Amino acid sequence: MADNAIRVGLLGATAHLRAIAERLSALFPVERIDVDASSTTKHAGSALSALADRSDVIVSAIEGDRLAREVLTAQVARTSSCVIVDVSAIAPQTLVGIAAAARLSVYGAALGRRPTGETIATVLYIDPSAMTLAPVASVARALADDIVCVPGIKAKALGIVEGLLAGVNGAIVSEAVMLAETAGIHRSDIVRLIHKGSGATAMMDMQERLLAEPSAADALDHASSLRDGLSSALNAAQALEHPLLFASVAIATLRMPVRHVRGGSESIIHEPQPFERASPR
Amino acid sequence: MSATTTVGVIGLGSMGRPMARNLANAGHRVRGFDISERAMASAVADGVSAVPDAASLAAQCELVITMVWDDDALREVLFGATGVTASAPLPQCVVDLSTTSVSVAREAGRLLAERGVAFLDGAIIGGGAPAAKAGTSPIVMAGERATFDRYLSVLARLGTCDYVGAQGLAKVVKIINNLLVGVVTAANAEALSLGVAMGLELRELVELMGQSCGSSRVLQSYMGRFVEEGRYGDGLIGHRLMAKDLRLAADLAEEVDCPATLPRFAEHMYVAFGRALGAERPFPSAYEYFRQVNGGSTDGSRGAIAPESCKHEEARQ
Repeated sequence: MADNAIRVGLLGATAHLRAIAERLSALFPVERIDVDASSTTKHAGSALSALADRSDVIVSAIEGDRLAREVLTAQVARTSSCVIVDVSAIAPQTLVGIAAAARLSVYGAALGRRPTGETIATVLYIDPSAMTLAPVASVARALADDIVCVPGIKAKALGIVEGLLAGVNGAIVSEAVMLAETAGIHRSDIVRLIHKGSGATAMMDMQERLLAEPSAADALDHASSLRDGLSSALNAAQALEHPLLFASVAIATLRMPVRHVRGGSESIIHEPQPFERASPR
Repeated sequence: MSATTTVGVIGLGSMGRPMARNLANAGHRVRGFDISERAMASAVADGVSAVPDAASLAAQCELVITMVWDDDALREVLFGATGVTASAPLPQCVVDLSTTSVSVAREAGRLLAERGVAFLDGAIIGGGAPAAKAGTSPIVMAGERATFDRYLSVLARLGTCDYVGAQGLAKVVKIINNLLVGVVTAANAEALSLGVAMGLELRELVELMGQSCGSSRVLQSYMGRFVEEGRYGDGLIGHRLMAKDLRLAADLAEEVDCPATLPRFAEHMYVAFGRALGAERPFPSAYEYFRQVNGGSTDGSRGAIAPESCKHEEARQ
């Protein structure tokens, strides 16, 4: 239900905010400020300050632990009851540090995706204490199709693991489908058959659905989200000195330029999408 | 083809034995052979007539189904001194359901065709031993379409059969399926291990991720069962065989000149899992490897590789 009394601020990287803005702007007055790795600490702080003055709830989706820490702990005046729901893919321990240092209340959350029949639902893992605040609860319900209440650091951990699973599964599905195609099985056949088999994954079904009716924007978003999920997991794991061997290989395979031959013409794709990897010669 | 066919099953292990039993229960006359006397005795109890070698079996059967270890074992049971092709008369058709390479499937098809024997290369791509027992295994078949149609009524007793095309393609599907199972299992084990290191309970991880876009059948079945029962499942292959399956995938990729990095990497990882935990431990125990090498254990306590795992490996050697 629309609640025009709740003012929502969006803060973060352009790519991550696009889907969030689409969902929220239909229901709330939304002001959006993009910050990315090129932003300086000073600019990030002033961006947060300006947004906090005019918002009841800020949803932040910032790329990278360092920038998230810089932006969310910036020196802003505690002028209002504005709270931050942070859905950035950052490590749980980074959230703990941010929550302790931030002038505004920061609640940990993470966005996930859940296949439901023919559609893909958005899931919000969010700290239950945040949901006791009426404005946050309204924004959360608008942001996701399903809400899972878990403590903030667990929400971050679940977001990291989900991104990691999607990334590694997406990478191997891409390799497997291209291998099958090269060996003589049509993509739609291998997807249909594997769906019945023990190798079935949600990513194979999702990628097939996304690319069956190719929308360049969807494909780019999907490829980008796979790489982001892996990057975030690698960052979180590094902080814990927990090596992620498969994620390291998977992200490399997703970034690998490939030779692409179609209709007799050959080209090199430097940002391949899933299923374009290792295209048949 | 008559409603009752004499069918031979070579390889009466965790998959071959229930297949033979289902065929016998469907009213077919079933002959069985396995190099293990124990496996033969079990099959006899299921209504299967034991024969001393593959040639004797083939001489009595119209249709022979093979379910053996690897490429070498398939060559031996088909073309060895006491193999299927040493029989008189020869069977009319051989169906191979083993996990073998594409090249050996095509080679077998060619050599059998020279002797007038039809050949279907097939593969069971899921369900494991429970589905084999229930006769519900998802099965893919390749070869001559007419041969497939001719024997479908018999093969349908083993599971749901999909025809996928020319000789060798069923093995491609099988290799791709096993590639996905192997890599997803190991990579997901590593991911779950990170989740536990970040303070999550394995149970909630499996439950929540099982509904997410990171979900997979291996996560839901093997890890779900591990959480509930402390074991991964029945009749699962070990690290050694999974490494072999991934080698088949990596070799296929090289053969068709398709870049594929993860299968070869995963093959080496399963060798490492086998060395650390025991080569015959069920392959989903990759999770235990990642927990242990990263300073934790499956119950959340910290420690190095469990000594009992190493002893398990030594005992096998």
